[in-house]
Amino acid sequence: MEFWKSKRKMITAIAGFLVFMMVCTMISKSVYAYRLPQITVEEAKKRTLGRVVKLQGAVTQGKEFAVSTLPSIRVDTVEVGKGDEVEEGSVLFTLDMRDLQKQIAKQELEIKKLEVQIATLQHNQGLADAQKVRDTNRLLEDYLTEAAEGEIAVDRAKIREGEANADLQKHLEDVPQTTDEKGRAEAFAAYDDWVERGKRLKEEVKQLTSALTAAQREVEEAQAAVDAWKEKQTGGTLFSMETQTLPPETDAGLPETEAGLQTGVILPEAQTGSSDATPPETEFAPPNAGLSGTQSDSPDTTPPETEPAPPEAEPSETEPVPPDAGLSGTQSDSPDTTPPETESAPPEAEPPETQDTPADTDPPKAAPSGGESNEPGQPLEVLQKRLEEAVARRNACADALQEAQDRLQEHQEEGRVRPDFTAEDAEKKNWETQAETLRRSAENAGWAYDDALRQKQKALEEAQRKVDDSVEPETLQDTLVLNQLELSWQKEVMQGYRELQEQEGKITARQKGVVTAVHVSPGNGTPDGAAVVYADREENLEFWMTVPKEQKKYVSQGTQGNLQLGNKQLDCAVEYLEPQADGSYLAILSLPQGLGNMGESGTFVVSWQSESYPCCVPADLVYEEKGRHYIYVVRRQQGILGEEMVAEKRYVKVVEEGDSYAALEGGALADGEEVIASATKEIKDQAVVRYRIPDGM
Amino acid sequence: MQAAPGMDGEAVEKMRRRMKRGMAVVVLAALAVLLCLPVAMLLFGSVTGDYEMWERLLPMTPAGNGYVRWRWIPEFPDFSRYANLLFATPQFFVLFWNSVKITGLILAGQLLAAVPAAWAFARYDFWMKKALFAVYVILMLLPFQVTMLSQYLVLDRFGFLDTHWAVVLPAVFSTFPVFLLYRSFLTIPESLLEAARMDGAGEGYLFWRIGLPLAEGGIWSAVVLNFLECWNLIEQPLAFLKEQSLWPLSLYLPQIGLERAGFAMTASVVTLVPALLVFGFGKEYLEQGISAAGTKG
Repeated sequence: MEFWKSKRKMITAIAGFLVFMMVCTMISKSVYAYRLPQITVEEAKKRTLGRVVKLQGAVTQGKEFAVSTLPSIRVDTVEVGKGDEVEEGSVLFTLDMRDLQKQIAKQELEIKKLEVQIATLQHNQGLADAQKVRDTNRLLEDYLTEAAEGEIAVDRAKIREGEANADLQKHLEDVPQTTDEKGRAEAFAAYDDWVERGKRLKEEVKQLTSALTAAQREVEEAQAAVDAWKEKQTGGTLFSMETQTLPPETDAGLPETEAGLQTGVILPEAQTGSSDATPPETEFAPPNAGLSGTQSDSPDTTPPETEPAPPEAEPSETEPVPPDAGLSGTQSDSPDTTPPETESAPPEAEPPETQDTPADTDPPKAAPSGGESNEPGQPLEVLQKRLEEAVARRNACADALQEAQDRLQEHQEEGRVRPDFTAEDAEKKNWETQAETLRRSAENAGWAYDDALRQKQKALEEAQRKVDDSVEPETLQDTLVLNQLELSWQKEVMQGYRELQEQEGKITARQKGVVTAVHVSPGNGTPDGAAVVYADREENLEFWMTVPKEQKKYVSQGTQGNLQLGNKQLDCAVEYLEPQADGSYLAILSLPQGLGNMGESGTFVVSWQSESYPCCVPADLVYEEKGRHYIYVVRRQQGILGEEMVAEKRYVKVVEEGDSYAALEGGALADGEEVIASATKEIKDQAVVRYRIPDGM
Repeated sequence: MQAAPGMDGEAVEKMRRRMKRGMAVVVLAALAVLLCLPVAMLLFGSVTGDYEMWERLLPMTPAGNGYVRWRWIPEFPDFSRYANLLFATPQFFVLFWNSVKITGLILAGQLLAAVPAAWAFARYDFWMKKALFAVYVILMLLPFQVTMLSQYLVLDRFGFLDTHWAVVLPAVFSTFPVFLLYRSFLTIPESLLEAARMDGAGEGYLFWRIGLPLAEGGIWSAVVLNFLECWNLIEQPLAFLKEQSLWPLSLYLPQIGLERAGFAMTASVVTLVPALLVFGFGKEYLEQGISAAGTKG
């Protein structure tokens, strides 16, 4: 209670304020609602559109006749006026005869001028035609000449081509003989075999010579041992005796030695002395060259080599030992292994182990050594036997050497030379070069023949073209033709003047009618067009009306309608429709006999019905603004007051418009969307509106 | 300051106090006038004619230049806007009553939820009391923008979006009134409650008969403060209410453009009236409640 007392005023104020606000709320809502435009709405419908088109027009004559005459003739009198009825033969107007005479004279002068001009042109045309014939004949002669000359040139070229081809064919048939690759390979192989065999024989001679030298040295050593033994045993007497008893053996050996020298056997001294400095021996050295003893000379005196000896030919170990060379142990005496001191101490220089010959294996082989020969107790028989064996081996070596030298000489006498095919190849190349030259000549001759043919063809074509050009018809001389046409026309005009002169200048009506237009007056010249127009009274009348461009879609040829003429009505159809310069159309209806009078106005009413359109609204709800159509639709939106209705201005496209409804383009309105039909106030876009009860409900 | 000849010390002291007081009054009056200037501008602007208002605010528009020159006294005072607002603008009243509804529901809900909660925090000891109260304080300090998304998701899940409950329910369980009332209940002496218990009073009796009457000032101060807060809600309705017909009045004024600035000032004046009335109603309680809240319990 105390709280209420203390706060009474404030509580009352707050309550009063709330009550005041509540009252204001009610008042503001009512005022707001009162100010809103109240509307009625309609929904779009699917329907057809109807329209009544009324066209105004007038009755006019069905057929008119125009009376005209030659222009620019002065009119003397005019006998009829507009609306006058004329009969057949009635004079319409009369021409001035003096002016007509002047026109006739002037026309005659024109005709004479044209006739003179035509005659001149025809004469010139004849001269030109004759000249053209002459030119054509000359060109034909040129054509024939070109044809003959071309034929000759072609024949000559053909002959030259045949000759060149024949030369080529003949040359190709005469092919030189050459050794093929296989034959050449066999020739080279045979030559190589011969050279190899010569090398082997030469090596064999060389080995046998060495063996002979060794054997000779053994003989000498054995002989020396025997002599030493005798000298040691018997002194100088015995030595003389031994010397006297030995000659037969010595003689037997010496002749062999001498014979060996005579047959070209190289002595050991000479061989060893020259062995280090001797260059490889020539393969094709003459047989006597090696036996003349000049082998010991310096390398400068050696005959020139035709083929260098192979380096491996020098070592004796690489060559097979001939079976008859039983003294092959002398190989160790090759120049490479023989020291230069062999001459001063030959016995000591030969190691007995290096000899693998059968003689080396004999027990008394140590006898040749100087140390052993001086040993006391060595029997003379052994020494002599050794001497005899050495002599026997020397003789065997000499025989084998002689036999090898014979084979070598026989081989060298064959005198083979290395195969050479250079001349054969040169001949073949020369033949090919000549064949290529002949082939080109034949090809050039063929081209020359083709060129001659083309040249002939070209020349003939050019000549033919000239002939064709000459016989081409020339362009017509339009001056002559035009003058002829002009003359014809002037004669017709002249004829018209004559007729007018015969009629004494009177122009008459061809049949009965009513004059509708007069385009001549006295004192003035006749016009180009109709001078007088009159209508035929016997023909049916027509109703002419103008259809505006925007109403053309309602009226077309054959459109049925109702024609109202005064108090008479007639159902008829449009017979003719003609566009006019201003975009409108002239529609013509034929009237039945006896209906309407000329010049009477009337109305042609057409009832038009469109196809069905899905979206049609009353036509008065569609407004236009700067050529664009729009409507007001109701849109609902959420606002502070909740859902409110708002008028929305929406631009639409009118596809068809009837008298009461307009069809809008599809999609302009959604299903159920309302179009504002009426409002208590002017509506603006986005204005809030509310419904009201439609009138009449 | 030297004393004038012929004056005794007491007179000088008295004069000095008067001068100090006078200077304080002058300074405070100047500050008060400064603070009242916007309200005065609102009042004068609400009766300024449309053309005058447009002429003054023209520099603020893109077409104008220079600075706004405000004339306090209108040349031709025009009160028609008040009539238009009060008698021809139902939109204003829709929002006004929305504000009344929202504010009333929030305050009622807060009384039902926050008063018992604050009594429990102030008078009972229970497990995790301090921790729970700390959470309350933290939630009170959090700005709305922090909890806006979570609130939106919860309200959407419960289907409260675009209804007034979207604004009312989060505000009902606001922690701020609990904090205010907690301090008020703490001022009640514990001996008093013990004496009542000894006399046979139950806990409900203590709450209804002793707690509420003694904390009346704090309760009404909480009501007044929360009324001002709820009357001016902007962010919550803007975030949770999409339909304009549900908006409170605080969202109506931003909808008015510069071309209708005079009308906006008129609406602002009318909007200010309830706040002034409620403030006048609860001024004493507000002072008591704030002082109680500032007293350490």
